[in-house]
Amino acid sequence: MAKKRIIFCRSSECHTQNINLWNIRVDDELRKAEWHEIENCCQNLRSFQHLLEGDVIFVGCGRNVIGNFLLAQVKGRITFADIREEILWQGTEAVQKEKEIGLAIKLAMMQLKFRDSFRELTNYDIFRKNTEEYLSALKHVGPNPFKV
Amino acid sequence: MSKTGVIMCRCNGLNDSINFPAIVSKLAGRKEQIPAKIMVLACNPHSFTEIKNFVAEGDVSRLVIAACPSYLKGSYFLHLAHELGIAEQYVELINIREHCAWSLPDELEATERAVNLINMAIEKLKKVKDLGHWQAGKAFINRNKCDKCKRCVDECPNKAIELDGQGYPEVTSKCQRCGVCLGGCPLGVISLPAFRLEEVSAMLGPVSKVKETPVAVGFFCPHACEEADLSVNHGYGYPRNLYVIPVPCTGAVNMILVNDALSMGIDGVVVGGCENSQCQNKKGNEYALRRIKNQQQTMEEMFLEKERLTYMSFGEQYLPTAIIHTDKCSRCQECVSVCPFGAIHYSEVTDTVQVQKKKCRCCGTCASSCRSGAIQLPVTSDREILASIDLLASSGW
Repeated sequence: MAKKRIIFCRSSECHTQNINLWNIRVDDELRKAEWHEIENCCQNLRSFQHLLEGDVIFVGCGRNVIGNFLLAQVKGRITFADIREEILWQGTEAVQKEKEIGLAIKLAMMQLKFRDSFRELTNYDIFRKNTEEYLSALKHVGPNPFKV
Repeated sequence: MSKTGVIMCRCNGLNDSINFPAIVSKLAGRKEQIPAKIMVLACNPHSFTEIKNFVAEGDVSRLVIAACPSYLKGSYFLHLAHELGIAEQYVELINIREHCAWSLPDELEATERAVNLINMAIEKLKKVKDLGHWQAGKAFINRNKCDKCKRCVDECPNKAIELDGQGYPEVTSKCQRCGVCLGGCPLGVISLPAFRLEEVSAMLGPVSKVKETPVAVGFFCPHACEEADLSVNHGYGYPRNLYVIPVPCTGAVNMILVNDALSMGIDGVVVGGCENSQCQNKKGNEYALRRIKNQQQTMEEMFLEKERLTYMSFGEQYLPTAIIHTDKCSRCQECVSVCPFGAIHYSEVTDTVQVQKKKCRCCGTCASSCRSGAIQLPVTSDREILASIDLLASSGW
């Protein structure tokens, strides 16, 4: 069985830079996974695209930030461990934070089995297609006579 | 005098295709000299002090926040403004991530579009008036201008408007702030908290000054806004000459706004919303379609092409839908009656309860009301929640 892949985002602005992963990876379940540390994932979205295959756990910001982008790229299943908003930006102690991060990653790993695999959707471009058709029709109609 | 300030979020580099210093200098060069601040992560709790200082130093009382979509961090920014003593109606959130940085790779184009969006927000904030009805959280009817036509009473999908002793419409606490009454009012005397016709009309000014042709303005409901953003997330760009103004529902688009847009010289108007019978506000899109049809007739009578005004929906098939396991289903049809979108129906031919994929929004109302546990949601399920609780409990949480 393929290993679960954990992508850990390291970013100084998000405060994920100084987390000691050794303390987190001692857990049996987490040790078995394949770990990848990426500097500023959001700025280097293309640099780790090849890792988005199989079962992926993204550790960093929440799904809202770059989640939709990653969902569009992943060939497999993906879950998100939102450690930025839920743990790092809260005012708890460092040791407690590490514990919570480990737990958040384990939760995300567990959630994987409830997720659907990647499915090809063809209608994501419907917005662009409709608006482009409309704008070309407008071009054909000509400029608004009220335009000064 | 009220002063508007602009906060621009670089979102940890996600918005780097925009030239922020150029925007700051453009804003400083305006007659009213708008103070602006570039932030790396405006939603970071550590940025609060910076924003607080910016508001205090610039004596800012109205705030434009240019960042990610409002449905992501909007509530945080509104809370932040509240902490700074700025009321909700004086804060305008604009999405420069999907609308500019992610959809336009060219820095010049992205920057120009961001400037236009910021200008639209500034013009809107200039028109905001404290009518004192924001705290009530419901639609406001200006009785001084109302001619008692009772259209709002007939059209309100929540039956929240009643007539008082003098025959004037009165908004009750049932109001859901969908804006359908506002969209239908022929005199435009109804307003919502943070959505007044005068404010929205002011936003059209900067769009009409865009040099590109054709230029169009879009009045998009929250669902259409999200669908458009999702499309950008999947790598399909935003058309650079379409400027979107979010509205509470397509039913809230008053034809006064369409007339304003066309008379200002904007080439086209798109009303973006849900497909038939999907509207969360029950009838908002039906009213919008009817009003657009009438308006198109009027436009033709005025020798204006009817193509300039159109209604658009974007498929609504992005989300995976609820699944009904026929083997577990008891055919009680409880889900059919509770579905707020009318997406579930019972087929007598096959003796099954079916989900219509185009209508389902995966809200989970059906799953929570199913006594047989036959409905599964792809996003989350009871089994997943129970497994999460197990894990947390075993970790001593």
